[in-house]
Amino acid sequence: MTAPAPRTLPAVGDSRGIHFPPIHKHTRGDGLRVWTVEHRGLPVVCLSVLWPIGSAADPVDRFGLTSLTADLLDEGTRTLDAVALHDALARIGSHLEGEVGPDAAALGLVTLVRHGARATELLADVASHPRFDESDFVRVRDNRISRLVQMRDVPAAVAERIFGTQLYGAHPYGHSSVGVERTLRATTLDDVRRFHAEVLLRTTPTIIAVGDVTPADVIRWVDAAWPVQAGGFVAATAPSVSTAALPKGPSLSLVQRANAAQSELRVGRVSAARSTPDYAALAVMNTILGGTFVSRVNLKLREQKGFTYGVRSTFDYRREPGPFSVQTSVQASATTEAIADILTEIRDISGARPATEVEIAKAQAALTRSYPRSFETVEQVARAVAQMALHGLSDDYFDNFVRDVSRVTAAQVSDVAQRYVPAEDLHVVVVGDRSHLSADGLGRGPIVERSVGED
Amino acid sequence: MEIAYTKTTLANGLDVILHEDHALPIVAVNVWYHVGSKDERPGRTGFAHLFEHLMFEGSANHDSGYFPPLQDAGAAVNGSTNADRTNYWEVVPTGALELALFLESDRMGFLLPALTEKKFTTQREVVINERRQNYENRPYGLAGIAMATALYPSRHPYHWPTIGYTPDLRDATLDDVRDFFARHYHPANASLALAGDIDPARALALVERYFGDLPAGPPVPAVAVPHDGIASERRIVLEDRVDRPRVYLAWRSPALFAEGDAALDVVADVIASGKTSRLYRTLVHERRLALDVSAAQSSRELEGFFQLAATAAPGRTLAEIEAVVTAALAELAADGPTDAELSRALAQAEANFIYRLQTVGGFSGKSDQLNAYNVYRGDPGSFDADLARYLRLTPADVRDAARRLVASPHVALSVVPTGASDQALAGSETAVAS
Repeated sequence: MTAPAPRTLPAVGDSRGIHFPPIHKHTRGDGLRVWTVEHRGLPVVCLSVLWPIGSAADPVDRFGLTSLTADLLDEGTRTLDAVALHDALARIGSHLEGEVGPDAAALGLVTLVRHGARATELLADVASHPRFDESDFVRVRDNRISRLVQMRDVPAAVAERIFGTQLYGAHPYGHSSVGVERTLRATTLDDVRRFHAEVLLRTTPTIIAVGDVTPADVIRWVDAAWPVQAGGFVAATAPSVSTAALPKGPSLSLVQRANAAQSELRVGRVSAARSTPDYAALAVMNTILGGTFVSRVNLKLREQKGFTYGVRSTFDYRREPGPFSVQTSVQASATTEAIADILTEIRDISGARPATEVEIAKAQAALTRSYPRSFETVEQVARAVAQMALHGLSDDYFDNFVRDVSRVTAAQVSDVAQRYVPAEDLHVVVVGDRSHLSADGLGRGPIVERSVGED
Repeated sequence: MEIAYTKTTLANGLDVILHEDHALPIVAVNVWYHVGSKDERPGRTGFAHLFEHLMFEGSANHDSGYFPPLQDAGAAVNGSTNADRTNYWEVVPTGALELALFLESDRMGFLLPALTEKKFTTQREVVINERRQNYENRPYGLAGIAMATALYPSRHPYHWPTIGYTPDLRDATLDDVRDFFARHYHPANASLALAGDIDPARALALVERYFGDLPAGPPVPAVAVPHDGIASERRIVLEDRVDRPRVYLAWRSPALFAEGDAALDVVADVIASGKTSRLYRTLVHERRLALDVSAAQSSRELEGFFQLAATAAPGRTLAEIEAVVTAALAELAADGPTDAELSRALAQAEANFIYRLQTVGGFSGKSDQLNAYNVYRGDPGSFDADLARYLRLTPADVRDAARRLVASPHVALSVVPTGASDQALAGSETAVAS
């Protein structure tokens, strides 16, 4: 028998640190990159291909083109129709996951190592020789249009869409990757074929493999399967972007939703790019403000007032400055008060109630101690490697992150809050019933009604 | 493949399951209480889930919130409630294991002295907001509640939703809540699994230190299950703020691990999961009657339910969809899956079992699986047995499971745009979804 413990909070002991595993980088003659990370333990491997070209590069009259093209890739290849392709994937215990964001497109899968060669073959076939049948195109495009219509009923989706245009206006980040109904209707199969052949296939891909594999295995699989690009791949050309023309805040937008039980809220502005030198300080600031359950905004709105199931703030880091946003859904009757509380919390962290040394120490501990958890599965490690590939982060980036976070000071936290999230500039978007919203005292100007339609 | 473990039952009845995995300096702490919404009674619904909130509000020897010390330690923390059980977990750096054990033990043994009227009323409001956000204010969000209401008689423990009925939550008193805790939240009704960077002897000693002196608690009686099923097919309609009508077809089905349970997973797979499935091909790909189609066997402790759902494409009707679905199910019930369909489904099942071994904690990580097997089967080492019940399935097993399913009556729920009840299947009565 062990003696019962004293019932007091035990101290946290040390844990061994970890290092981000080495990345084996190989570049083929045509420029294609193969990055391998050995992650031992289970006989699984995550294989993905990343192109540094995303929805921000969509032509203005073809919003959604990159995403639609990526979605069509798995409708079959020249030699495998859709059913045969998905049957082949299922037989290796796998399915394809495609993802298109503003800056990149990716296609990947997880499979058992013994199927690695076959999986690479299927991935290469899907990426390089899509079938692009007219009937598939029409069905997939029309389903996307139907989903967009359906999304008009989803308050969070409506809020995101209005928030995007409110922050970015005509900037390439102003539309979501899925596009809008008008541009999808205008998109033809020829647009997709041309984009695939002339842009996507010519852009340097990075193949990322993480799992119980050696670099030699992966390079052999890729060499056997991935077509060589005659004349070599080319670097992606980033869309020309001017942040000077961004809409000015503050603003207060409402999408009317009569009798809604809750109001969906977004508060934020265009803020920081992935390359910001203030990344660590912003991470600490956001952890204190709204990044965790015990953050200031969640404690205020959920734990003290019971207005919401939860509220959080995030920085969406992109190649160009991405959005900072506070996101929540609150009970309708608390709409105006919740907005005022969020604005107060943002204002106070660089003003009346700056982050305390204790808060900063806790945020640093939370960020650095949680770090090992982020690299457990092959998908997690592959996502980290994809960030490095996309944003040109150094191999020791993740290891340095722990050190950089530990050095953040109170002055830096106040400084980044002031520079990146000045409360007086913030845009507010509300999807809810207008009877619960008052512009008085919010300092955002008058309520501007918006709606979601074809555009 | 197997998850190596040791199991010890403390004198107070707490099961302790330990699994070593030193890949990363982290430990998963996972507690299952064998209490869910099935253990509630009509008029007092939503308590198990409400407790999931109250359990994070502090206990007698740490009355200042559950999250802060864990967040500072770099932990991930969460919990979930369903009809059968409630689970709570932390994934902590190795050096914070003792902290997590202290906190879990303190809320197991000393929650009530710290439970105040204020905490109770605040969390009740949070839950009512959660209900608004995830059910009432979400398209199709009340479909699950409408379906359960129709599928199970009112005395059945699966009749009411885990989130609870809002009037019940409003009527609940602090005394009701204390009583519910006293009945269900104690070592003899719990199972604790640790997985990760542990030294088993030291970990067990720590568990003994923090949990060993907690009183066992009263035995929990088994839940009574009325066995009256639905007498005949029922059609119901729910109007909602949606653009496209959607039909849900549901049958009551075998319980978790019962005969036919695994076979119905394969039925769901063959009929409506992914682009190789029969209904994806006919409904979505070829005939374009539906925007999407899905099916699942929801395996639960007392009994399961099998549900299929499809959303009508523009210009198409739910009746057209229903006809195709009915024909596809009848065909599967008559002829069974092809060998190719079955082998494909089993290849996926086997790979998914292996992928599940990648994480020590969180929902469905190794610690959660060990507890699930322990609570539902009394044997944490059921990983192989669980996989084996899939791998030994024959086409005839799958056919028979489909045959038994379609021979039993089902509920057809149409969710249609507000004011468009004419878009429901013919003869539908108004659904109850509150």
